Amino acid sequence: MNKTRHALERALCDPDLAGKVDRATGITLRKRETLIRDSYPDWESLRESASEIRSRSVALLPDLVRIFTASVEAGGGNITIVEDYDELCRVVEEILRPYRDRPIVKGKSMLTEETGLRDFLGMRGYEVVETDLGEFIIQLLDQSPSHITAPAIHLSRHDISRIFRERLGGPDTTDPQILTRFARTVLRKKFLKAQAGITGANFLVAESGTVVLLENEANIRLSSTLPDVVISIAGVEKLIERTTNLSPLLKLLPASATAQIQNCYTSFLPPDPRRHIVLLAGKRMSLREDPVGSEILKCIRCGACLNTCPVFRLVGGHGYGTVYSGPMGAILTPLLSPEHRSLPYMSSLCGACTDICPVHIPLHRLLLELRSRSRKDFLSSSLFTLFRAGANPRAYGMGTSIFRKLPNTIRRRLLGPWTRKRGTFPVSPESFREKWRRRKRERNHA
Amino acid sequence: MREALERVQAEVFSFADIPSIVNFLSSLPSPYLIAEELKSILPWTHTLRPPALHPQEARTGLSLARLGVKTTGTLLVPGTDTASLLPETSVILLPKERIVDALDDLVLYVAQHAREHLVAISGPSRTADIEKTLVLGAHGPERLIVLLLDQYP
Amino acid sequence: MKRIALFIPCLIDLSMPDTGLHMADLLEHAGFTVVCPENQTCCGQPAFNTGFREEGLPYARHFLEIFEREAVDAIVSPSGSCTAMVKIHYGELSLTQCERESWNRLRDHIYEFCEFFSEFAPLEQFTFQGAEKILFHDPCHLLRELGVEEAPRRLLARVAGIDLFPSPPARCCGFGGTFSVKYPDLSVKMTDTRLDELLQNRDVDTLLTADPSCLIQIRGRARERGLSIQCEHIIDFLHRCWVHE
Repeated sequence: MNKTRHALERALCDPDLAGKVDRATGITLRKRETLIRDSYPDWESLRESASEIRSRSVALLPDLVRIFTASVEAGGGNITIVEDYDELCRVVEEILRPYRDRPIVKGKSMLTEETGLRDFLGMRGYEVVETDLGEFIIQLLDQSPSHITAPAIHLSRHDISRIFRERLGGPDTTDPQILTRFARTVLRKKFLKAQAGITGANFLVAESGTVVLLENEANIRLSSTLPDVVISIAGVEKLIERTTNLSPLLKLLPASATAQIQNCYTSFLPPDPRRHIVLLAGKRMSLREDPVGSEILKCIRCGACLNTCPVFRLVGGHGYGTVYSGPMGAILTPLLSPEHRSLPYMSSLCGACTDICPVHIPLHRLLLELRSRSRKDFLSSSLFTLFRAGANPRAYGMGTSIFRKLPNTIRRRLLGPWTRKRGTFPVSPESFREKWRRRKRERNHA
Repeated sequence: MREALERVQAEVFSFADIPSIVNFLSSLPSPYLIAEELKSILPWTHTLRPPALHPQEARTGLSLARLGVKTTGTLLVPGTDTASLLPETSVILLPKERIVDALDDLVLYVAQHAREHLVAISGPSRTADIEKTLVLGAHGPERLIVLLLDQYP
Repeated sequence: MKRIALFIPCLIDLSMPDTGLHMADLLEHAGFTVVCPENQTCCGQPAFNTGFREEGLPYARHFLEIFEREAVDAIVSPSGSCTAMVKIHYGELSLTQCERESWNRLRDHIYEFCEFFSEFAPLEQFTFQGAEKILFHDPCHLLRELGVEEAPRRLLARVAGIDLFPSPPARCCGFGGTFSVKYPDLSVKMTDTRLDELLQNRDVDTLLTADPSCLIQIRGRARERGLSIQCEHIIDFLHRCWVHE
C-alpha cells in the first residue's frame, strides 16, 4: 500500500503529467469513437462474440495448454511451460546463452516487465535492446512503461529529444519525424547485429501452435524474422482455441488500443525449430477458480480501460506504481500480488471502464468485489460500526442530527480531507424530515 | 480496395499486367530487393538494376500479396519476405482476383495455411509513441506502394 | 400512476433538504399524491461501495420493508446513484427468498426523478421560464448504471429562454463516495479537470447536475476556486424557473 500511495503522491505532484496523459488518452478516445461510428455498425455484436470466445478460452484453459503444447511440438517447435517468474527467467537465459555476445532485440511484452527479465539478463551480461520506440525511450531513461500499449505516454517531445541528445548524441530537434528516423538508424544496426530475439504474444492459437503478434512499427517482424533464434514469452491467458476466433479479436484490439482499423503488421508465427515458446502457467492458472480472476483473465490488453479511466488520465501508469495500471491493473495486480490489496480503492467506480471494455469484462464491479474481500484492512473499526448502525432509523436519525448540530469547527476537523479543498461540508440546520413534518402540519392547518 | 489502401497511407497504382509495371519500378530508388517467389515468376526482374547484394542495402523491395482485404486495405504476404520489411520503400503486387471482401476471409486463409509464416500488412510502418503524433516510417518501410494488377502473371 | 413515495437520500436529508421539498412540489403539481416514509435511512451506498457488502444488508431490508408498506405506484429519488443502488445492487446482497421477491416487486417501480418526470408527468401543465446559459453534467450512475441520458435534457428543453450548451463527453466528477475522503487530492484533481473541461470556451452561468453527491463535490470545489458559476440540482433549477399560474 505504501508503494502505491508514494507513486500516487509523486504523480499528483508532477505539474505536467496530468496534461500529457490526459491529452494523449483523449486523442485516442476521440479517434476510437469516430472509427466505431464510421466503420463498425456491428461493434456491439463483435464485443459479444469476443466476450464469448474469451470466456470459453478461460474455461477451457487446461485443455488449451495441452492442445497448444501438442501443436507446437507436432510442428517441430519448442515449448517450455513454467510455473513462476524465476523459472521463466532461468529457462529464457538458458536458451539465450549461446547468443550472449550479440545484442538481443526485444519486442514489447508486459509479462517480461512483470518478471523483471531484462534486468535479470542485464545483470548476467546480456545486452537486451527494447525495439518498440516507446519502450526504447523509457529504457534509456531507466523507467518502466506507463501504459500497456503506449509506454511513453507520460513524456513530451521535449523530454524525448533531450534523452536522445544526452544518451545517444541525437539531433537537436523536437520534430517527432526526425526523432523517429534517428531511432530507426540506431536500432536498425542492432537488428542487423542480433542473433537472438524476444517477443511477447498477443494471442496463442491452440489448434495450430501459432503465435500471433500485433504491431505498427515493424520492430516485432524484425525481431522475429532476422535472428537465428526467437523466444516468444506469454502467459496462459493468451490462449484461444482456433484461428477463426481471431476474426472479432483482430478487429476489436487495434480499434480499442490505437483507434486503428488495422494495426500495420500482424504476424502469424507457426511452430518452428528456430523458435521457442515459454508459457507461464502457475498463479495465472489458479485465477480461473476465482470469479473475479476468471473474468480478468479474459483481458486482451488493449488499454482502452486505461484511456477512459478518469484516475488513469490524471496520474498515468506511474501513479499506480505497478506493472499493470488502470482498471485492469487494479484488478489483476492484487490477484497476483496480495500486497497490492488497496489498489481497487483508488477508483471512483464511475463505470467508464466497463462501458468501453471490448470483451465485456465488468471491470468496476470486479473492483467492488475486491473491495469487499479486503475491506477490514482498510477502514477503521469506528467507520465499520457507523455503517452497521446507520441502518437503524433511530440511530440514523440521531446520528445525522448530532452531525448537523456539531459546531462548524469540529465538523471541519472531522472531515478535514474534504474541507481542505472543497470548503466546509454543506449541512442544513434543518433536516428534510423536520421540514417535511412542518410542511404537513402547515397543510393540515390550512 | 483503393480507398481502403489510401486510408492506411498506402499509395495505389493500377496496371493492366506485369510488363507495364517495369518502367514504374525503374523509377523507384535502387538497389532492389525482389521476393524469392517473384524471381522465378518474373524472370525480367533482373532488369531492375542494381540488385541489392545484401538485403539491408536495398532501398526498394518488391513483393507479391497472397490476398488483399477490400474493407481494411490489408495485404497478406509470407512472413519471411524481407522485401516488405527492410527497404524504405516497399512495393507489393496485388492481382485483382486476389482481393477478398473482409478481414474474416483473411483469417480463414490463415487458418487454412496454418503451417505457414504469414504477415498481414496495413500500410507503411508507423509510430505514435511521441505525443501521439503519427509518424510514417518507423522500423519498417516508410512508403508502401501497392500495384493493382488486372492480370497476373 | 397515482401515488408516489419519495426516496430521500441521506445527503438530501443532511445537506439539501429543500431539493426534496422541491421535488415533492413538482410531483404534486403534476397530479400525483406524494407520500414520504419518514423513517427512511440511507440506502447503504457508502457501506456497500467501500466493500461492506453484508453490512449493506440491514439497509436493504429496512428499505424493502418500509417502501413495500407504502404500497405506492412508484418510488422516486433525486439521486441516480441511490436509485441504482436499490434497483441494481440490492440484488447482489444475500437477501432471503422473501426479501428477494419483495425487491423484485419494487425494483421496476423505482425511478430517478428526471427519468420519472419526463416520462410520466404531464409537462404541458408546467410553464418554465429562465434566462441563463446552462450546462448539464451527467452523473456516472445515472448515465451508466441506469442508462439515463436524454431525460434531463428533455426536461431542460421545456425551459424557455435558456441556452443549453451541448455537454462534453461524460467524465466522473471525482466524488466516488468514501473515495473523496480516502484519496482527497486525487478526487479534487478529478473535479478540477472536469470543471475545466466543462467551462472551457463556454460562457456558462449555471452548471446543473442530477445527483446530490456530484453537486456537493462540484459546487464545493467551484467555490473554493472562486469560480463565478452557479451549481445547482436540476430539480432546484426547474423549481426556480417554474412559473406558477
